[in-house]
Amino acid sequence: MKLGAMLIRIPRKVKAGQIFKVMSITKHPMDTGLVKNPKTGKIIPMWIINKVDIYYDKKLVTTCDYGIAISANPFLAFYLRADKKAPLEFVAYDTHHNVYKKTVMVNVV
Amino acid sequence: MDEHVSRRDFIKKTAVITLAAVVPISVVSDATAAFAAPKPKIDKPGKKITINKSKLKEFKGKEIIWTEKGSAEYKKMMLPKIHLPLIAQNGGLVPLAIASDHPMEKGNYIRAYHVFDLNNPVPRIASFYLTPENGKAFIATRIKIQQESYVQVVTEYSNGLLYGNRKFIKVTVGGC
Repeated sequence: MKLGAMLIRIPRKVKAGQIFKVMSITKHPMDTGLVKNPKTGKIIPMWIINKVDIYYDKKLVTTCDYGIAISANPFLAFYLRADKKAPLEFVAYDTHHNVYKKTVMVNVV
Repeated sequence: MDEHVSRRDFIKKTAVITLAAVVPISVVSDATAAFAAPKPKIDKPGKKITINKSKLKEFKGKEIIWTEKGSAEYKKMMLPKIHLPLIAQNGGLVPLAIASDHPMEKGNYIRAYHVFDLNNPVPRIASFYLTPENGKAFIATRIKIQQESYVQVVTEYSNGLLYGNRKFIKVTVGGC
């Protein structure tokens, strides 16, 4: 898996008005800046995802502000109400000014 | 009988007895010394854990209200259940789920969950902002915890009120 790659799992088909679960994992080291490298003895600098925005139908649905105490490869699960067939977009920002994006379609039958 | 004991026999018997008597004592004394020395080194750091049990008083200039579990106000505001393991073997990967039955309608919903741990090097763990689109006030993640402590969740309602709620967790190996 590439760094910053996201895995998003949603049900294949949902009914209109149904509340469904969204699960996601992002590949990221999430270094806290407090741990030493055992070989060199130097501190590994801080590198974390500090914000995740989730858009459904181009509307901000959920925002997460992360500190350093989120474990490596951050996992996130939440619920969402299905209205219509629309894209679900994840945007993650990290402290090295990288932006990771992933979009999936919600199939409403 | 005793008169006929030869010099060679006497030496043989005494040598066996002295070997049997001297060797085990020396081994035991070495072993006790070896076991006794490292013990205080192992015990000392383990006993130094002090837990900060205080509750958060305010957040962003607003007062946090703490209610007793099972009281009328606790049930009325539908404060979330905090799902955590009793003992986390790896402090670097502790599953946390926050779930509430509070309705998510326009004008009456849970706006945010703020997660804190006062014993971590940085107390604020994360904030999750929700909207009525979610339909259910539920969040699940994985967090890092330094030592045994209280994980505190501050629930922010759409009317601006802040309510506190917490759960105790034991950690065998710290994760920060």
